[in-house]
Amino acid sequence: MTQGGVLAAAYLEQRPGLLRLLSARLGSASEAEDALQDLWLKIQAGSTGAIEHPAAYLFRMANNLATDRRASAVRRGALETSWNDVQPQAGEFPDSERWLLSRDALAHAEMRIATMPERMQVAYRLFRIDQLPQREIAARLSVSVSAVEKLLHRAYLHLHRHQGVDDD
Amino acid sequence: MTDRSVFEAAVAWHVRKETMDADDWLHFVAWLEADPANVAAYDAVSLADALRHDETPDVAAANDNPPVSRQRWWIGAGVAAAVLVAALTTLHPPAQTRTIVAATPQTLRLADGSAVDLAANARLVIGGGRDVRLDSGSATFHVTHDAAHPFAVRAGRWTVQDVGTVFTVTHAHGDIDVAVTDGAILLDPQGAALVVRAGQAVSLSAGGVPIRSTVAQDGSRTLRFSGESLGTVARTLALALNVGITVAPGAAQQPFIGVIRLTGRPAEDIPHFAAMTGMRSTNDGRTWTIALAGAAVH
Repeated sequence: MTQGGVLAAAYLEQRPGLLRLLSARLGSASEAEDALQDLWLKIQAGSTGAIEHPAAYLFRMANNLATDRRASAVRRGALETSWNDVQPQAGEFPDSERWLLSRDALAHAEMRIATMPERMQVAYRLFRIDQLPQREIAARLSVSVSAVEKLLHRAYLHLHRHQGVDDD
Repeated sequence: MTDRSVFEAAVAWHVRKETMDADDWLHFVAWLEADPANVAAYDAVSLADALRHDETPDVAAANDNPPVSRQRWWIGAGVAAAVLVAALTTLHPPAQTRTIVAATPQTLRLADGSAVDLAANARLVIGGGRDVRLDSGSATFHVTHDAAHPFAVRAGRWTVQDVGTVFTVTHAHGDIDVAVTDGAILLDPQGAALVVRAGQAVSLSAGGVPIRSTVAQDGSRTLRFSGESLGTVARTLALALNVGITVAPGAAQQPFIGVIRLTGRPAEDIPHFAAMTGMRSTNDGRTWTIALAGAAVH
């Protein structure tokens, strides 16, 4: 079977689980179906390279698609909210919006990353910026994969501290 | 306030997702389904992560075992597309290719029954197959679908592959814009594989993130920007309108957040855009220039 055939077969087998994942993440059956259709089109397009675990690969793709859709919705929401907040007297440019600057959040995240302990910061950057697999990060830091997972776990908690989700 | 243990569980799932097997994923789904608070916590963690490093929207996992860092994902995708183009060129020597430069708008019929409406000044290279190259300008493709032989338009480093469709591709200096009227297409099928459906459009430049917009029945476009530079915004508008737009150097780096509605008529849209950003526009007959109000316009 071709690589595309392997993925298509895995898709048909995993479809109910994929749909459950997308429905849970997106909170809407129709949006979940839409995202599943996107996933199918991407499979049809055929990706290159050997895929070791097609089912896990499809779940990861579906989960990424859900996050992308949620992120787009948040960006849209932010734009529409800010438009309402700053909408000038109706009339002159009804379809447009004044510009606003919003690089604060990014600057804040950079600061949080910069204040991480060194190994945590290295692990986080390798994971999130360089997108290396955990086993490779483990090899580079000469620690076990589960130790990398712990470092990353603490890194994410560190990033979210002072954002109202950590009661410490 | 999110419960601490729920939040920690969400972080744990998020950190593990690259190494989870199919059973783990089903456990994850069950965890999400168990409580809306779990969904909300995971949403918060994954979205914060996506927005914190906002360089790769719309990109799903491209490869199970990435051979190299995906840090420069878009450039990587472009290189992959370029390699693919090179490979195809080798497999299909350029036998009887024909270059058409449209002096005025015209319609071509291709060998497979597909039709192409060329805008004035479009430059299209066709061979015998379902593989054409748009070197510059704008063209609308009415494609007869054949799943076994996908129709592909190459424009610079990008490839647009149809999934049964009417779509317009505009190519200028390596940037492309694709607007889909009917059906759906895949943009950069071997790389990012962005799905663009009827009523949607995407603009792409090398190294940049894709800019999505919507296309209404009457051809009007709604574009949303979330902090791109004015230079990028102007390049996107230039593609969407198929005109040249220059932004004065002092203004090109300024970020822009907002929604722009284009009618498709440059003489209305460009002055409108300039006015909404507190600038002014001039037109020398070929190219539009946008500059700070009060600054000298060249």
